Amino acid sequence: MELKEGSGRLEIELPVAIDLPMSGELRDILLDALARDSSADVVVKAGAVERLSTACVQVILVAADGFKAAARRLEVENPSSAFSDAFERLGLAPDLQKLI
Amino acid sequence: MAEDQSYDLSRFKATYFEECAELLASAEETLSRLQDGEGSVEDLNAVFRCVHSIKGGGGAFAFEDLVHFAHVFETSMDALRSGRVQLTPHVAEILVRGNDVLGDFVRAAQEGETLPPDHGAEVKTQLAAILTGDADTPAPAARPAPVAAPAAVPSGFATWTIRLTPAPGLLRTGNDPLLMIRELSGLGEMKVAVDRSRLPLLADMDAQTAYLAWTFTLVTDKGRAAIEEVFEFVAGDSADVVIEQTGQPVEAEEGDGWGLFAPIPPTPDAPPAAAAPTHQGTVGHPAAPATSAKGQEAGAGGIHTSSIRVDLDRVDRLVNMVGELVITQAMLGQQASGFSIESHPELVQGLQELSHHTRELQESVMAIRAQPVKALFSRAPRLVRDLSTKLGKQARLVMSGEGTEVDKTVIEQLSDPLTHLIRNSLDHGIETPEERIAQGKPAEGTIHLAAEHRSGRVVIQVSDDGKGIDRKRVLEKAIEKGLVDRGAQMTDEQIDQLIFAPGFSTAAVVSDVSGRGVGMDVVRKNIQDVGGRVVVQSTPGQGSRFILSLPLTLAVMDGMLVAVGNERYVLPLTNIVESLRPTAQQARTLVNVGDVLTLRGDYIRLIRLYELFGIKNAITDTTRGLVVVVETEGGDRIGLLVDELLGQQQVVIKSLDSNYRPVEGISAATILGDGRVALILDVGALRIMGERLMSGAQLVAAASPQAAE
Repeated sequence: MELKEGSGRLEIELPVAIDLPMSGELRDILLDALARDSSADVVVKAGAVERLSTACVQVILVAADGFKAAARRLEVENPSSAFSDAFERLGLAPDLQKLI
Repeated sequence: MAEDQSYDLSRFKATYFEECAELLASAEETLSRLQDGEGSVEDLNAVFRCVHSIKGGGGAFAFEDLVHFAHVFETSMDALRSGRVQLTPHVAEILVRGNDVLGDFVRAAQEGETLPPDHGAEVKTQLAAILTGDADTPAPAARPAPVAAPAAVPSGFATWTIRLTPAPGLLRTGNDPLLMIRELSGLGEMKVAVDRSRLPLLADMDAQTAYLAWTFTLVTDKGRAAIEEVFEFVAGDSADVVIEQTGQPVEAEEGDGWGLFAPIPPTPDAPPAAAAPTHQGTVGHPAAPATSAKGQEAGAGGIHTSSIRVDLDRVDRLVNMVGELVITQAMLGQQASGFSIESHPELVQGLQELSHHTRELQESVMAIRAQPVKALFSRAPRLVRDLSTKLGKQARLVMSGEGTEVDKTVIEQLSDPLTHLIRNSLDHGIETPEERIAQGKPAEGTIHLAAEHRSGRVVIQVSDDGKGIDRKRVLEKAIEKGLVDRGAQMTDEQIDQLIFAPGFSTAAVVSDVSGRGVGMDVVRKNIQDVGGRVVVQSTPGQGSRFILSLPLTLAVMDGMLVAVGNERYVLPLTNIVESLRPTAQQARTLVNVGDVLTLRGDYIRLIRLYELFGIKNAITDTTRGLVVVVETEGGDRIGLLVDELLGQQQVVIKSLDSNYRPVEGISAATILGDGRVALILDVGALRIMGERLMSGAQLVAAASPQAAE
């Protein structure tokens, strides 16, 4: 997982499984993206995700709020069914809709 | 580790319930025959066995209610089959009812429900009464009310509010609310409200801390216990869980629909208090049969299975037909090779799709027959434990790759050889603890059983860290038995191969474990029968390794079609390393060795296929032909001289052994697209044949066990 710069935006491709340690990594990457002195939006590519923890969902929620506060946007691109499913189960389907 | 075990157990449970469903169905069928008065003693035995099997499995999983009832049932069946009690129509009826109740218990166990303690009590009493002969005296209530079906379902739905507030450390304990929510939503219809007020700023956030909290509204017919069970591991320490019942249970109305229809659960959207009356109107209405699915049918009908058993013959027929389809597809492809995509775009594209689909179909069909080698490996731990005790040795079994899937027929053929190899390792390989310590090894020996997929084949290895093959003894023994001529020069590898010779055993004392000399040659034969090969590698003092290499499937493989003179041969693609046209410098003839090919500093034995098979009109000049470098399972490389490569193709394997007779150097035959028969080359055997051809002057034919065939 790493932050890539492409066509005026920052991109992160999520791996197949995002467990607890991986969520920590994701948080650090997103914090890094937020701290960068740029106005670029962040795109989280979630097409490959098959398994994710609640921790990962929390990180994405918190990061989305953070970017919003900085007048930037965190966008979830092409969420896999497992990804959407997790948000829905946790009662966060509307929150995910806002990020897509 | 713990996770693995629980996973395993759930798989065993699933198998058990599938078997239960079959057993109950078969018992029901037999019982109905008995009820019609057509039954025999064998039928009574059959029912007894069914009940006994269900009881046995239930005991293993500690389904106490189930076992208790099955025990009573079984005792009555035993009395009947032994003739102590006469089977009358009335008794038969009790048995049928008993089978229904048994089905209820199985279903309850499968769903993880608890039946009311008095469930089936009446039937149980009647079953017990069979023993004393009382059952046949008409009871005061001549026709007891049917008890089996309706009692199985707890009567009402209720609305529950559950608040889950995780402690910050919840996630770190390995518990994930996602899993609990998934489990909870399995209990009924559920709405989730999330409380995100505790979420911090990204900079202040610890990703492993739980911040979210939830309130669930659940409508379920399961009780509080089922809900509490979901949070069993977190409630208290890792999370604050509050469970409240907010809606009244909705009772099924007596008399409506004969209790066959379960009440419709109110949706969680409705205000809990209002839910009951508004929906009550529709509750007992016969127009709502959809919810009757669960747990209502008598006997085995309600126990769901996710797999079916199919007769192997049917699968074989399917495999054969797919094989024929592959041949037809190859034929069509060949016929159409003259058409260009420009002139017949649709035809060419259609054929490509056909080829694609054929391959997919074939893979799916093969997957039906595939089974994990776990079934094969599962006997090993016990074997090792028993044998090491018997032999006074200490051994540890390590297994890997149990999930590797192999064709069922291959698995069946492997069982004996594998058992023998493990015995062999323990008996001949692993030393006694004293010897091991004297040599600086740990007292406990290790036997490693491994399976893996390697380039289209399955490789199973049995290795040990014992003393390895005693080559001096093997050679002496071989000379003594007349397998090898005295004074014959043999390489280490050739000596190792001697242990596979028929009638060979070096164990000084014949033990009841191994050493009867009927082992390794049988091992090799069994493996060869399924198109496999066995190779042994041994390092004195460090152990031996037996490598079994087997085809994934016995039906189809990818091959390279090569031409030698007018003949066509198929080389398994998995064996081919590369092909090249050698220069004059590369191809040489060495004294006492024969033709070799120098390739990047290595010498590779060159085998002229035309010479081996006596083919005329073939290219004999190595610099004008092509050399295909192939690798055998043992890791040796040889070069095969052919005229040209004709192309890669999927071929259907037709056994030569069963249709003709075994031919050395040939593993099977196939039918090509143009209808010609081509032989599939056995690279390992070719190497041995080539060696014999070259060094025949030095080695007596019998010196190599392969040559003895």
